[in-house]
Amino acid sequence: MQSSESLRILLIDNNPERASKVCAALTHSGHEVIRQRPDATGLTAAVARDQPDMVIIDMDSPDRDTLENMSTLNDHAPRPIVFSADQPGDRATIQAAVRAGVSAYVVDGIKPESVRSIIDSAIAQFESFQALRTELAETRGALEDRKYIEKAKGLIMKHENCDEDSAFQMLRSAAMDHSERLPDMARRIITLLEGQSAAPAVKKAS
Amino acid sequence: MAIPTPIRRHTVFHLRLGFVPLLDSAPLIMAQEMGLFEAEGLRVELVRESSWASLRDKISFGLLEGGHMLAPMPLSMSLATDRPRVPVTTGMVLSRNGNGITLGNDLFDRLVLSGVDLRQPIETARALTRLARKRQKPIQLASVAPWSSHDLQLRDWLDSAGAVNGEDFHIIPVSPVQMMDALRSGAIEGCCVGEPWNSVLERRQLGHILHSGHQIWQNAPEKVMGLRADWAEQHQEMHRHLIRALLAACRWLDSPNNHAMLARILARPEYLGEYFNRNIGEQFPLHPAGGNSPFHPRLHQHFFHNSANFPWLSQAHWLATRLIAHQQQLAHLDMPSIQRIFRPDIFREAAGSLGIDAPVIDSKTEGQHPCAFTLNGQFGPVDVSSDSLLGEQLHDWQASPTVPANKA
Repeated sequence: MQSSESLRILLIDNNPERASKVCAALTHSGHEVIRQRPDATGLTAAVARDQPDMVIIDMDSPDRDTLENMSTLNDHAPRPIVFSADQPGDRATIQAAVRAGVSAYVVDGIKPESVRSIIDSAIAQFESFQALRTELAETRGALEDRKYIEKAKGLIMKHENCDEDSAFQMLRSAAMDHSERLPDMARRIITLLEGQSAAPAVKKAS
Repeated sequence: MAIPTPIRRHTVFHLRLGFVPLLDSAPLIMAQEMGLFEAEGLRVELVRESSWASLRDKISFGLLEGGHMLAPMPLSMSLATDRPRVPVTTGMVLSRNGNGITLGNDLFDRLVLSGVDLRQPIETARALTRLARKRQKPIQLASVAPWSSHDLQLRDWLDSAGAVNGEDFHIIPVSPVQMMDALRSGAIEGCCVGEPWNSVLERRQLGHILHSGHQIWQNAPEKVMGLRADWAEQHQEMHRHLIRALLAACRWLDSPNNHAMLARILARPEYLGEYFNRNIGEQFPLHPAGGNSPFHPRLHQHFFHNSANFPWLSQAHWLATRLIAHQQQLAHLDMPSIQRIFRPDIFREAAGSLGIDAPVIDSKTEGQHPCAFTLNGQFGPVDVSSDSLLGEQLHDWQASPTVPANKA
């Protein structure tokens, strides 16, 4: 669908594959897209040189803090889209953008419907990459750690004949006393208590 | 599949908290690592954010309940006039000091050659101003965000010499992770940034720490635990549990015996490690003092002692006056609106339940105490750290109970 005005968009995304998809979608809608691989200070210069109507930037990019300030430096600089989230409809769009990891900066005077359609197509592309991010966020390490803690608690409960709360408190104070991470202390306790138990745990083939 | 047993008999509360990978995010990281959150019945998901803007937006739009915040952030989020306001509450200061003003080698060398006493911030600010005027080019500096203590400290320091913003100096915000590139490329000549970045710049021989933030505002609140006010209002009990967990972590952090372990944990990829490996290809810097401590001996960063965690209303008021003085847009500001944002009452109750004492007053004259001093606490006398301000300024909030709002 052709949007009502053709805009010049600066796209900053360290993920080249995703950037290509966003770029293709926006170009298809008749916008001009300038892609930039940002560096520490090139951003201010790029905005000054290319004078984009809109900047779409990966929310996780550290460049955002620099963009934030540009609107305070000069009136023509793109302003963070979150600043114009007065309308409930806009709030929903922006919330979806934040959720998908898209942040956007817009110069004054661009039609809200154009802004919305551009953000929506960026969101769609970013969302297809979301699954991957979620997977990375829940590191295997954290799950492993939890397993050790649960197991150590169980052993302490058996060994000390106490409830779960007290077992956890014992584990925690042992970790604090030895300046150890909770999961590391849990591992030590497992080794210690399993060594003492009559029926040693089945050795896992590693 | 076995149903996992709940950790505790009472409901476990889930809470998503953001942090920016800096040394002073340690209270949240250690509370998680040592099971302190869990001990208080909280299941916390820590979410790492690359920029302060991102942390702010995620809290504003409900993707996080709160996080590690720059001390002025609750004020700038709650009282903004140039964007939708998001009421934020803080019941606890997480850390004090820890910023450095670091100059690149060129500028530092020129300052040395000028013969100025490098220990005197007002003298160095004067020398830099003279330098800028002589070469007819502003000194190019960076802070981490316009509403950060770093930015305000830089400006207060330069103000003390009568330097003119835009003529004698320029300040741009640069994310801490990009400070190194900015300094190396010559885009900036110096910066005010939090640890471990000053240490990194020094170790890479890109610059020298000229001053600590502590020389501008002694023992100023640097980071606070900020929460969306609606969440804090609906979960008052949980808020107290959160403060208790973080207080235990802060107390642990102030013990030098724990610093080697802290360094090991912060170096893990999900905390600061990946950042360091990816951006600068090395582990973050350690200082030989106290057996491989991540804390720079000059920056006086601390987390607990001398009532470090107490959220003074007078310090919030001071920060608000600095924001306004340096052109940040804040709504009309009076003590009642600050009292909704900074909550010493919540702190006192949470700390008291752990037997940790806190002052019984909410405000004091800031800048009046060149040394640590003692106040009445709930249980007995409490120690409070010194609070000198650059140029021996005094800030008596009662003398100016209402801050004139700037023109929006």
